[in-house]
Amino acid sequence: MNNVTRYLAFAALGFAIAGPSAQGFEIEETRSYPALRDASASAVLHIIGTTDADTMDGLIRAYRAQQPEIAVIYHHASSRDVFSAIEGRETFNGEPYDLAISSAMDLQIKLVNDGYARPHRSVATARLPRWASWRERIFGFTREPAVIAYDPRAFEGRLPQSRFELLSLLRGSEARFAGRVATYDPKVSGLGYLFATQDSLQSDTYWRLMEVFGNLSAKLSCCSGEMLDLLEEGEIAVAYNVLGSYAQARRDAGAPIAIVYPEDYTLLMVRTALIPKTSDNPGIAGGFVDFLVSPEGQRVIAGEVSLAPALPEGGTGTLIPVRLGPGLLVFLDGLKRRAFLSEWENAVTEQR
Amino acid sequence: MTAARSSSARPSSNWSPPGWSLRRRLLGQLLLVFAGLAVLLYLSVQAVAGRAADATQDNILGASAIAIAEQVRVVEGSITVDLPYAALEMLGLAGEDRVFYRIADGKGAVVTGYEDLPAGTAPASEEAPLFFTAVYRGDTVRVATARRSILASGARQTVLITVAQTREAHGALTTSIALSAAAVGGGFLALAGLLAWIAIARALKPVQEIERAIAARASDDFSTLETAAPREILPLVDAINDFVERLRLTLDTSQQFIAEAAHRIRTPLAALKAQAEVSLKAGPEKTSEESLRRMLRAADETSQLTTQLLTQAMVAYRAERAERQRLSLASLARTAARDLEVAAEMRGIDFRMDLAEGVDIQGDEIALLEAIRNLLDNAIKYGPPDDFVQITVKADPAPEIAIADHGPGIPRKDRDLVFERFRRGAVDPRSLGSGLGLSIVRQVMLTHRGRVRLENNEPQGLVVRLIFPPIRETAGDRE
Repeated sequence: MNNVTRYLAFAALGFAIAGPSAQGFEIEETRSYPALRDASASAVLHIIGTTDADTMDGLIRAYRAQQPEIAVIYHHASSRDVFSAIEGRETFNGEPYDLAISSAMDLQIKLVNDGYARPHRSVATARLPRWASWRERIFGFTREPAVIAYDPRAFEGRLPQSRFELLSLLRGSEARFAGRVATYDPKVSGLGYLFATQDSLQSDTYWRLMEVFGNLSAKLSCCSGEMLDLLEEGEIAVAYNVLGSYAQARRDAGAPIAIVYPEDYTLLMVRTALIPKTSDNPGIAGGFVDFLVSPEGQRVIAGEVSLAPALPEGGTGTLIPVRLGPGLLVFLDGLKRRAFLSEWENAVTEQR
Repeated sequence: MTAARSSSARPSSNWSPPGWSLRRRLLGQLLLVFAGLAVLLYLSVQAVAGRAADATQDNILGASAIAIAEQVRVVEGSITVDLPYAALEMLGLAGEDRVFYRIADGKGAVVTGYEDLPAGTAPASEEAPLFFTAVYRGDTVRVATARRSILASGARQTVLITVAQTREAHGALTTSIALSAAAVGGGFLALAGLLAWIAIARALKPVQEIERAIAARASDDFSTLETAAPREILPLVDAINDFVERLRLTLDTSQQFIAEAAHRIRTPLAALKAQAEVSLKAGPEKTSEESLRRMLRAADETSQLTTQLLTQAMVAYRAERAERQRLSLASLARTAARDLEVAAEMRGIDFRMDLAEGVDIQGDEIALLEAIRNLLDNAIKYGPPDDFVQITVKADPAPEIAIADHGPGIPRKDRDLVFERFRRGAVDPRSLGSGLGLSIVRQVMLTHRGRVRLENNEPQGLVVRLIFPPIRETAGDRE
């Protein structure tokens, strides 16, 4: 913990030096892993990412077991901040970030499209399916479904298996569910915004569902973890669009949670990594990417880390991966975002 | 003619090494042509593929720009656009190219998108976007700009919608099509080479057949080559047949010549031998002057015959090989006359010469002198003693030298015969002569492409005219 404090202090110093350009970009937590061997080595891999530091911990430890001479520093930030840090060519204490990991596929795509990422080719990345990489600059290493999590205690009989069933149930029992439904606040969460926009592309049922959520005074949340907390505590009965891997981890830990992959369609989010152009250690960063998509890395992801591995592929026809491609740029357009959020707001608040 | 033919029979192209292969050369040249065609195919396919890829990218970019243009609205007096998801998503279907867009109002203010993206000029029609290529953010991009007129705050405004895409997939597509074309071209080249090899082998088959036919034939077989040769090879077959025929004639002539020569020489030698034996038997005191004279006469005859035989052989040899040079008929006549001066004086014969100067012909001096000397010799021999022999040279109608005597002449019916070897006119059997003279003359004239004409001299005697073809000034010494 000593190390962490020191790096936090450095971080503060760094931001002070960086001046105004550092505004609107905030690191939530920095966790440092010194090299296991040959501590004099100067190679330090700076990873900035949206994944919890606790979740990343297992991955980084497994990586260090393979590369003991490399020190790793993980900076946890929101998806917006990860984007800003890379787009603003920010540094940590003068050391640029070597790897950006984010669940906000759209922001990652924009970084690549606008030329902030450098290419990386290897045997490991060549094995990736087409939906998991773009322009040899962005690499998906997890594949996480957006699921509906229920508190089974609040339901009698069969749990709604699709959006339409959920909609019918909620419409008929407003009193029972008022204030007891939750979803992402797309204004706050990048991932929430991605799920909301992709939902809006899939079906109109989404808008009707949001109207009902508005009528039920839905709780709007920043993150899957918070929603799952509320669910576990019995505060809410329905959490819409939470990350399947997080929910599964809670369930495995004994929480009374039911997980439903919506039958009509289940969005698959791909957690991606990219190497910023400004990286000082692109070789080491590429090695980390290769580790993430390697069988060993995927095994760690599936096991102790509790994410969903990108490989092997599979799943049923209702799983719809969000395509990595220029289409994702559309909802990042300023006008489009404003229009979408205002429509979303209308849907959620109109009938309140 | 013979000389010209023998010189043109040598290979005229010096750059071909001996033993070069017609098949290999044909194949090489054909392959060169095919390779050229294959390269042409590759280049044209590449150009067409490039244009096709351009067109494909332009179509998608144009569709994207128009799709966005349709979503341009005026809300509360200001221009806004609801970017359709498909507009950018469709650009990602064909590859992984970077995509940029920009929407700007009539005053050039950017409504949304990448502010520094080059927009180009406004297209004339709303249906037909303008396309151009530019460099943006370090990459070459293809740009489509569409136009949309819209009523905003009471005024009509032109909104420019620009969509750009990098050209990696475009380049990859062009390259892959061009590579396919190259593969097709290479395959075509290989196949064409194989087919050309077979075709050439088939085309050269008649030549091989001729070769086999000639190789298989016995050295004394002079029959005509019978092959079903194609029209292109027929001249070769004809030439070979012609040559074989001439070879046969030459050999025939030589064999006849040798047989007759042997026979002719044997006769006077036998006479000489018989005379010598008679004299030997009679003893030295009985050997008469008469028998010695007869022996001398037989020896003379043998000697002259031998000389003339050798002369004819020499003339025949020279006809094949001697270089032609420009000669004056007058000086030839004078030289020949001088050579025979002594012989003529012995019979009291004068040469009267009427020589036109400057009448030149192309020919072999030694052979021609031999021919003229033969004629003069005949004239001296057959003409009456104490007479004259007329030598005339004239240019019209053709270069000609004529020798006229006053001897017995040759009857019209015998005129063809006298040119045969060993044939003599109906003459005094006591005079010396082998009968080779006129045949030598005829042979010389043949090799000079001239003619020999025999005419009667008035009132009595023979006129022999040697008529030459005029010199073709420009053609040099060959045909």
